[in-house]
Amino acid sequence: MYTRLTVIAVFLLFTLMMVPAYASVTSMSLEKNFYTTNESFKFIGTQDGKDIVFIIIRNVGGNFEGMLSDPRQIQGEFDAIPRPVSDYFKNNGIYNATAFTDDEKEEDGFTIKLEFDGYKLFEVPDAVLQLNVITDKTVEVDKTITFTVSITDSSIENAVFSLQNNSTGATIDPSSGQFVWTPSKSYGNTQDQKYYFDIIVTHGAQEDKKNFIITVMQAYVEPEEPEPTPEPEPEELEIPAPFVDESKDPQGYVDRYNSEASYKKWFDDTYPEYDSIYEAVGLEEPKIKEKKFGICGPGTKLVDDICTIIQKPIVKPWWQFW
Amino acid sequence: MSYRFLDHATDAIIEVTAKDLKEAFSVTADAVINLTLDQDKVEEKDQKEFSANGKDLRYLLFSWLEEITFVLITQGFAIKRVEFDIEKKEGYKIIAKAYGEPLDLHKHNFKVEIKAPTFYEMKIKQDEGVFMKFLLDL
Repeated sequence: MYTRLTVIAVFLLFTLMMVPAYASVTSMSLEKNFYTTNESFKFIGTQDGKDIVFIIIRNVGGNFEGMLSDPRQIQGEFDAIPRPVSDYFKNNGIYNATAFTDDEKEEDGFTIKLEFDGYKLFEVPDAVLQLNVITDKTVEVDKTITFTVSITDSSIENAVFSLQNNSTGATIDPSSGQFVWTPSKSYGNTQDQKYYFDIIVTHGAQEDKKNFIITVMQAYVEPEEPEPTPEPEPEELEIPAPFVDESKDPQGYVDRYNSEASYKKWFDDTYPEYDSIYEAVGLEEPKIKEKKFGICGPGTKLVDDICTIIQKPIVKPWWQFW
Repeated sequence: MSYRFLDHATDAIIEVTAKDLKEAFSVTADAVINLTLDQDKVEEKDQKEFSANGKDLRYLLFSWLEEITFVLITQGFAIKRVEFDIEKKEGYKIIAKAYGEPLDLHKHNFKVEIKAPTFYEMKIKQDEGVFMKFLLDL
């Protein structure tokens, strides 16, 4: 047992002695998402030591385009001296920027891709930033809906989530992507109400957007209007009226109506739906010739309801008597 | 002709003495090159042309320091020596040719990247000889 432990210890000691303890660059990026031609660009990054860091920029053909460095030797990080974009990038295209410590060789360094489009310099991402699909949701008023949005490539770190054009009070955690919304009563309605959301994720110069709908379920019941009472269909008059004995002469009922006040009252009170006793017994009501009213003009008189010219006797002149 | 580095915590202050203006600018170039790398380890394999100009000697010196730094750092060209002429018309202009080879950080013992020259503490005197003093931001 002791022999085995001794062998292992000697092996570990030998390994430690043989492996050189040098610093290396562990990450690098542009400090800003992009730089325009009239700006100075700057690399920042980390190292696992405290060494001078050099950054060499080459075009895709491998030709040297420029060099930068951070001579400050700060533990764990580096921060290259800013240089004008226009000094280094004259042709559109892709460039490789390799950072390495004074202990390393360039080929052992940390490389990122840059693109210069003639106006802007930016980092070419290794991975494509894309949000996973966000399904539409439903929620009730005053209830909290929460879920976490995510990106398709989980290896992308430090993606930033945000909500665009959001006036609902919903929030999203910029780093975790957790969405939270509690729709207040004002977001409810008498029917299901749809609200549209846009979620954006950014990482460096990359951006992706997805939209989804949250339906706030019906919150109130619309007060029902009382249904109008339908007008009763006018009942069809029974002619002759039920009291009429059809085997008798209907004129007898009319005569009795005209001559007996008590019978007339009984009929009018009992059968107001009939316009007259004639209608009730099934006789045609005789037309009453109403007298015309008015005064006939001079030289006329009312004859058979018509103002008629009065014929004056013709008086012969005296000479005709001769 | 000579140059010397004055003690400074974070930057480099350099004093140059020379018999004339051209020699002063030549010594200045050597000072900047040696601040950046070991000039004697550079071989003459290639050449690069560059120019500097200024409305007066101060601006010319500033431009000269910028251009040498640009060739050394940005273009990654280790300079062994520089040939140049100074023209004076409305202002000053230097047309120069640098001889050297592509920068090799290890071979040339790259020391420090000069961030930028400055006008701070810059002095140029021309009496019997030329005296120049300038500060480089490191």
